[in-house]
Amino acid sequence: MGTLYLTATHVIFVENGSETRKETWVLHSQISSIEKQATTATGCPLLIRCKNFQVIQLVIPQERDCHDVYISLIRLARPVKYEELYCFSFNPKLDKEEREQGWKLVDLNEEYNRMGIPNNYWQISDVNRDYGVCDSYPTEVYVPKSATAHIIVGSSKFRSRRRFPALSYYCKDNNASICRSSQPLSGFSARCLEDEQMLQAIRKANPGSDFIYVVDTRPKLNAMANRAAGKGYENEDNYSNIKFQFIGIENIHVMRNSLQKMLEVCELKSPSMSDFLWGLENSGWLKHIKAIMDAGIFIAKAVAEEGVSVLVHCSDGWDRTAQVCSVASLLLDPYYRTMKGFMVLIEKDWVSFGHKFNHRYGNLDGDPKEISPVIDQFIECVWQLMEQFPCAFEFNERFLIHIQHHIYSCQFGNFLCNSQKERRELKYERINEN
Amino acid sequence: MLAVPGIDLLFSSVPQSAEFRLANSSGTITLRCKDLKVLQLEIPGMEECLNIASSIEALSSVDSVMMMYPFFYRPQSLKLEEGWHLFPLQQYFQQIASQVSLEGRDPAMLRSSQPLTGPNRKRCREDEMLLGTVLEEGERGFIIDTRSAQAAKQARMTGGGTEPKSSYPQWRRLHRGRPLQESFIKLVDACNDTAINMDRWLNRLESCRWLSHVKAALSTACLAAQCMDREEANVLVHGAEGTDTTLLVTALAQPGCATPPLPFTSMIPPGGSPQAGHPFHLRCARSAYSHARLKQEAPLFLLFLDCVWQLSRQFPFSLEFGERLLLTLFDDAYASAYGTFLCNNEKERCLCKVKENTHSLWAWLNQPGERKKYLNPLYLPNALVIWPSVEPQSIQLWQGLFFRWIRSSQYLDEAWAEIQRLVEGNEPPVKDSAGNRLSQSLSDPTAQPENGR
Repeated sequence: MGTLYLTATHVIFVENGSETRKETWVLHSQISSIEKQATTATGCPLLIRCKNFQVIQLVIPQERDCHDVYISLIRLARPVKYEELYCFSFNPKLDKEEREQGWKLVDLNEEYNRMGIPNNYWQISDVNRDYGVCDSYPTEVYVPKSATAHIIVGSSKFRSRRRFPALSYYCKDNNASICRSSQPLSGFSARCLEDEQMLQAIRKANPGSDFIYVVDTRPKLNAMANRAAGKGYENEDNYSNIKFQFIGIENIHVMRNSLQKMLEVCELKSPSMSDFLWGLENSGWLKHIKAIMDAGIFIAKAVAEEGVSVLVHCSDGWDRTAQVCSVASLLLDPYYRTMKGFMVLIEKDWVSFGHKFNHRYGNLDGDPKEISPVIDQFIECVWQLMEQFPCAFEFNERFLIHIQHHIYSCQFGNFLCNSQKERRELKYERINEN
Repeated sequence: MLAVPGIDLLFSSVPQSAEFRLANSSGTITLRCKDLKVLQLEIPGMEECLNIASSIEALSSVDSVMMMYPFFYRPQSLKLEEGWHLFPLQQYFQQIASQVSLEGRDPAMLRSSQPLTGPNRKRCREDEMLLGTVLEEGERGFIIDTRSAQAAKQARMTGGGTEPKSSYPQWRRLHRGRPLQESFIKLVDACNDTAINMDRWLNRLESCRWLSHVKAALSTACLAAQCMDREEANVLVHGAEGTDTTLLVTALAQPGCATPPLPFTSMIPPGGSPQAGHPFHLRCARSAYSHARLKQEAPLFLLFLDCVWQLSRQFPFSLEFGERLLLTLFDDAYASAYGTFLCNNEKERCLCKVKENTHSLWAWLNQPGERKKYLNPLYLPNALVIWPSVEPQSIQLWQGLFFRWIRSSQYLDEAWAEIQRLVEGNEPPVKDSAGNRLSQSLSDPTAQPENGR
């Protein structure tokens, strides 16, 4: 028994207990779905499912009130404009200078410097300074020394969404690197000299190896199907000195369904062990997690053990590519296992490289087919690593849960929009908290 | 003793069927051990290999109990006859009795075997009177039958059965409902398959049903404990013989289960009535790699240890001992240098003069130098009853046992050492854990066995 409050940002339920005031706060941005259930003797139940997997059931005595709450919550949980989001009103009372300092905490130039760049093999390029080449990439990208602006632009025209190969991680011990891109627009037989030169440039940036791996994280069938649409994957015959590899991670729709099934298993009432294990197998969730880990391990081994550079892509290079590059980086470099390093990793491979936070996590009301637990899977991979290597991470599980929570909460401005360009247009840095 | 550099191996830990293959001028002997270790020995020379193989076969299938290793093992730090009276049954019951309050009686848990009702519904006045004295006027008791209702009914055909309600009016019967050895074998098989994919793994985990058995055991124990704690009723637990699932359930359901070796004494009473114990010799004959499916073999004791491990995971502060003790007990139940788990019951142990001629495992473990290896650094004594979650999500595969030889426990051991340091308030060492790169290799041949002693 208690009182329900609806504010601009939260749903708050305050229990009627006399001794301690127990409050349950739920951010509207955390609400994934609201379901009106069949009326019972006690009232009308409303089931709220949250993006952090919390499930809350409210039983409202009057049907009319229940309906009002339902309609209000639907509207509040689906904001249309960015300005409606919590981060624009959240005010922890820091002054302007402190707020700006907060935004400077993670500096990607500093990060690439830490890796040892720029150097003889890699340089920073401003070819994308006005987002003229690729609007989902950052203004500053790192490319091989021998990749001229001409090559970059030419390559970008041959890549889906213009996402040309760019540096994600550089290992200064052996000059091997992890680069990322989207799929080439090769169709069945198209070629592009500049794109081929781009891959050559990546190879040349690692004098210790005479070939590079090209890793397509999609299942082979999907990649082949893309060829019919004028896209596809790199042909070893056309690109000299590459070794091509499919890894086979499923797409965002499969992952969305997988999560749904797993949550259904978790919501079973008193399942037997068999029901549970069968449900878990049927959801495929752990299989997908393993696929991402396997890909990360392949890349990490190529870099650390073979000293060979890797170019990674999927279709658009902003989902599976991000997951796999980040996992590989975590395996390779202990810096990313510190708290600061982990934040840097997410800023680099997810935020700056244009992972579509808004679309994937439903910050604003949008196409439900774009929703997918991509970063949740990455966070689970980190958790799996923490289970196997408990002493290797500076942060704990609570930190991961907190990050996952805030990706959906929109309490802070870090994970807004779909790209750096969109964020700058929103001038979010001037307004939001970090 | 088979002396292989760096590895201690008791003959009795090796099952009868050791494979050997001959190729070119050398042979390979694969030893599959009862503690789930698998060893491959490459022996140059075919004749050598054959000789060694036949020696191993002969030595690992000793017929007489008194030719087994405990009758020869003489550690320097122990004296014979010591340690057998460390935890006598009388002392245990006295302790329980003193806990009973003077005002009312605390609920009691009893165990027995099945009543021999038979197809003609025989009755026994003495049995009814005995159970009657346990309950006061108007009190209710619960009979927890560890067999399924169907199995219990079928038992009547062979002379067993259940307590009819009319003859035992104050008692309410609850049934619980297996091919445990088969389950164990399938699980170990699945765990050893390191090339398996996720779907196949989950499928095999589900179909071996080991975790289902763990869930059933834990929930039956909870039921018994609930009857006693919440309903404050007396509980009688029996299965068919009263020596297997009965013991499992009563051992788990005991409060004060947290401090060793109280739970273990109920499985193997060192003193006290003859047939009260678990038949270790029969139940722990071959372990998971044996080709022979012995009728009486069943890893009940392992199931008990697994349940205790589940408790330790859910309640990290509540057990005085750690996983290492559980692993040691598993090993020793199947192959031991000590006499504690020899034979099937007290009568047999007397006949073989076990107490006079072998050492007690408890004596060894209780030595100060040894004991501290088995303690849980997080232990906080707590008198409350612990209620585990028996939902499938809460029950996990005991990786420390089933993957013991497959995957290095180096990083987990490191974490426990760190916990130990933090608890003791020492300065943590310079962090050098996991090196620079995170990597795990499977079947690391340099990994030392958990309890090399």
